[in-house]
Amino acid sequence: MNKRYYLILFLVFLLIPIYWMVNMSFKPNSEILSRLTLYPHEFTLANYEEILTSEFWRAGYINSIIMASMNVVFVTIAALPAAYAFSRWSFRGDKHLFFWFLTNRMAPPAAFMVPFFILYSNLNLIDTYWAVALAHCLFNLPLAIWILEGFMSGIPKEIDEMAFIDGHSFTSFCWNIFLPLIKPGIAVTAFLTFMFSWVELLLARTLTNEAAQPITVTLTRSLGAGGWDWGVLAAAGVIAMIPGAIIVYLVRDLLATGFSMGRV
Amino acid sequence: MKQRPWLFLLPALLLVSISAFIPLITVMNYSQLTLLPGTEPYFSGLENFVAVLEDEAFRDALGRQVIFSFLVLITEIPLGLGLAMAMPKEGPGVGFSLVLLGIPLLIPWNVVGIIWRVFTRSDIGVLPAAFDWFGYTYSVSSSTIDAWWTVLAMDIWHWTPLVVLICYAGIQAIPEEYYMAAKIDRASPWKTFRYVTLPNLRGVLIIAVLLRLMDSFKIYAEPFVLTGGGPGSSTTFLSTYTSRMAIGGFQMGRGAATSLIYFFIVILISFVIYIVMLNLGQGAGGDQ
Amino acid sequence: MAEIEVRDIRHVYDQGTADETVAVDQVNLTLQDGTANALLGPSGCGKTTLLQIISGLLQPTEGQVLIDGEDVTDKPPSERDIAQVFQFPVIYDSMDVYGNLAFPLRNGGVPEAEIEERIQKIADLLELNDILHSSPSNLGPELNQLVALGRGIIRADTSAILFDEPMTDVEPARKLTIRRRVKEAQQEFEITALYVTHDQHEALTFAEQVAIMRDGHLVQYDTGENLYENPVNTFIGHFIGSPGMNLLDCGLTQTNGAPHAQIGPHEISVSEDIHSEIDLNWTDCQIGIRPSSVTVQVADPKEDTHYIPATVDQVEMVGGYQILTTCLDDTDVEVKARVAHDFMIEEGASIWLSFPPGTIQFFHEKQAVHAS
Repeated sequence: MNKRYYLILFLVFLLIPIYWMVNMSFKPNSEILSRLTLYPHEFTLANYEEILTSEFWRAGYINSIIMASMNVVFVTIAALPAAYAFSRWSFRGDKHLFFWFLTNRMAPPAAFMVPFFILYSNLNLIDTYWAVALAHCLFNLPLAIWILEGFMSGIPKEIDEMAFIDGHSFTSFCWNIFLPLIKPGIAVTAFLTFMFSWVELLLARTLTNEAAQPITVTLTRSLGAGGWDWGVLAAAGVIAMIPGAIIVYLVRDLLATGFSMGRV
Repeated sequence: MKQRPWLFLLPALLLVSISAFIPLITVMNYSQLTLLPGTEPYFSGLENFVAVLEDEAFRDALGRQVIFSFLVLITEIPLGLGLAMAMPKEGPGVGFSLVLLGIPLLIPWNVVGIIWRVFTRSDIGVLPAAFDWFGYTYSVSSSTIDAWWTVLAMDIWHWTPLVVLICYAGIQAIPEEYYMAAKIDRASPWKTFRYVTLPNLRGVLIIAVLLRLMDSFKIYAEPFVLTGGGPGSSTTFLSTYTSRMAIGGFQMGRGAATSLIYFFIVILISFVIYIVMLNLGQGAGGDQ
Repeated sequence: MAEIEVRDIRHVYDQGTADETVAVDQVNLTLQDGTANALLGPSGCGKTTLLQIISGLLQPTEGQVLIDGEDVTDKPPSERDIAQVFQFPVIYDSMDVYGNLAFPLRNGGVPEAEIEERIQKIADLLELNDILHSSPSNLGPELNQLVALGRGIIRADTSAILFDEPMTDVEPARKLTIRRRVKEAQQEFEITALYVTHDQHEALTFAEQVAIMRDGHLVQYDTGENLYENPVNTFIGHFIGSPGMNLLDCGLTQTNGAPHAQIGPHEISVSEDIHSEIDLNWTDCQIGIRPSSVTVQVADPKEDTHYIPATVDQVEMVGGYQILTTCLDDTDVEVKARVAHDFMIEEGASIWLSFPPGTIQFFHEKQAVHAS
C-alpha cells in the first residue's frame, strides 16, 4: 500500500529535526559552531551534565511540570461540567456562549501580556505557580470544553436517563458511569492541555521572574556572552521533550481508544 | 431547574473572567488612552485605532499574516487528513505513530525555532549545504522566498501532527458498516472518501481548521527565532508587530488598540469559516 | 435470484493468539433461489459472522461460499451481487433519498433514464415517493432503513439480500409496517433473502425456512412448523415457542410390553413409532411436550390412567391464553400447560394432566429420537 509509504516518509521528516537536536546535544559547542557533522565526532555528555547538575535548569523543569499539571487540573475541573451543560441541555444563548468561549482562544497573547501583568500584580500572584496556571486557562479552557463536548455528545442521553431511573444520584452517575465512558476523551483533552501549557512562552515569561520560571523561559536565557549556548540548549530541548513523550507513551492506549470511540 | 446549566458553567465562567474577561477590559481601557513617558495618561478615544489602521507597517503585517495563515491551512489540512487516513487503524503501529506525532508538539516553541535556525545557518546548517549541492545558494537572511518557505516548512513540521491526530480521531469514530456498505455499493475509493469519510469528518475538520487558523494567526516565537522577522520585515507577522508595540512602553495605548483590532479580525475570520463549514455539504441529489 | 450455499465453513478469530475464538464451525447450508430464510440464535452464536462470510466482508478460515454453484469465496463483496442491510440505517448523509438510491447504479455506469425508472419502481414498492428529495437526517431510523433496503435491491443483478438484525433501531410500534414492506419487497423481486435475528417471532413470520445456530454450529434448518413439531434436540425444543417446550427428565420402564417414560411414580406412554428405537438401559432421557399440547382437566378422571395428578403453582396471562405452571404430584417436576383465557382455574388447585403420545418428543442425551 503506497499510502503507508507516505506516512513513513512523513514520520521520517518529523524525526529529522528531532534527531538533529539529539545530535547537537551530544556535541561540544566547538564542534557545533565549526562544521556540519551528521553525528557527534566529539561525543560529550557535558551539556547534559551541565543541565542535570544545575539548580537553575532543574528548577525550570520542575516549575513547568507543576504549572502545566495545575493547569490541567483547573481546566479539567471547569471544562467537565461546562461541556456537560452544553452537551445535554439547550438553554438560551447556549450557542453564542459556546462560540464566545472559543473566541478566548483567539486572543493573541502578545495583546494580553501587559493587562495580565497588571491584573496578577494586583492579585499579588506574580512569580507564583498560580499566575501561569490560571493564565493558561485563557486558551486551554475553550479547547477543553470544545473537545469534551464532542466526546460527551457521542454518549446517548438515554444512558443518563437510565441511570437516574435506576436510582443513581448525580454524583454516583458521574463517577461510576459517565466519566468512565468518556475516559479516553479526558485523556485526549488532558494531553492537549498539558502540551499547550508546557510550551507556552509569552505569558509565562511575563508573569514570572526567578521563583516560578518555567523551562521555556530558562531556555531563552541561554544566550551567553559568546552567543547561544547551542549544546546546552539542545540538551535542554531534548530533556524538555521527555515528560510529554512519557505522558503520550503512557496514555497511548487510551489515546488510541479515545480516537476510536464510536466504532461499533 | 432552569438554573442548572448556569451552575455547571460557573467554574468555567469564573476561570475565564480571571484569565480573559478582566484583562480584556484592561486592554479596552488602555486602547483609548495615550500614554507618553513623563506625562499623565490622557483619554484619546479612537485616535489610537485610527493611527494603527493608518500605519503602513500594520497593514503590511496583516497582509503577510493573512497570506501565511492561508498557506498554512491549504497545506496542513489536506496533508494532515491524508496522513490520518494512511495511519493504521489498529495494531502496534498505532501507539508508535501516536508517540512520534506527539513529539514535535511537545517541544517548546522557541526551541523549535532554534532547531530550524540551526538548519538554516550558512556555516553549520543542513539546508544551505543540501541546496549548495544542487547549485542553489540558500539564505534565510537575504532571500525573502527562502525565509518564507522555511518558516512554512517549520510550521508544517511543527503543527501538521496536530491535524493528523484530530483527523485520526474523527476517522476512527466512523463505524465500519459505512465502509462495508460502500464496498457493496461498488463505490470507488474516491467516492468512498467523498461520500463516507468526508461527511462524517465535518465536525472534526471544523475543529482542525479553526484551531490552525487561530493558532497560526498568533504565531510568534518560532518565526521570530528563525528569522527575526526578516529579511527586512518580510516575515514580520501580526504577533511580532503587536508585541513590538506593546512592549515599547510609550506605545502601550497603540499596542492595546492594535491588539483589539487583531483580536477582532481573528474572531471575524473564524466566525465566517465556522458558519461556512457548518453549512457545507448539506447536499442535494449528489453528483453524477 | 440465486442459490446460495456455504460448505464446511469454519471461522476462527485471532487465530494463533491467546484470544483465539472459533466463531463458526462445520456449517453447511443451502438457501434455495428466491426463498426467504432466517438465521436465528442467541447472542454470540455466530450468526453475524456467517452473514459477513456470505456477503464477502469476511474471508472464512476454511470452507467455501457458492453462489449459483460458482465458488465466490475469494471474491470481494462488490463482485458478489449481494446487498446487506445493517443493524442501524447505513445512509449517505450528504445525499438525499434519491441520491442514495441512485448511488449503486451510478457507480455501475447505468444511464440516468434507467436509474430514474428503477428508483420509481422501488419508491412505489416501499412507499418512499413522498420523501425522495428529503435529506436522511430529517427522516427517522425506520424510513432510513427502508431507504437502505431500497438501495440494496435497486440493482437489477442483486442476487441476494442479507439482513443483520435490521429492526434494532426501529421503534416497536413501527416494526410491523417495516417488516411487511421488507417481505413484500422480497416477494416482489423474488430475491433470495437471509434475515438474521435473535427474535424468533420475527424469524418465523418472515421466513419459509429458519436456520438455528448455537455456539457456532448450525443446529437445525427447517420450516417453522417442523422446528416447532419436530425439534432435533432439546435446545431447539426449548428455544422455539413461547413458552418453550417442557423438558422433563425421565427414566424408562416397560409396561404391557411397551417402553414408557417414568417420572416419579407416573408412567407416560410415548409414540408407537419410536418404541423400537428405545433401549431400556438408556440414561439421560427426557420427554418434551409443548404447553399447548398438554391436556388439562379439573374433574377427577377416575380410572383413566392416562391422567397424572398435579397442583397448580402459578397462573399467568400470556397473549390470549393462560399459562399454568404446575407441579406433578409426588415429584418436584414442573410442567407448563396452556389453557384458554376463560378456563376457570386458581393457584393451588388440583388438576389432572394428560400427555397425548403423538405430541410427545423423546430425547436421549439431548437428541431427539425419531422413527427410522
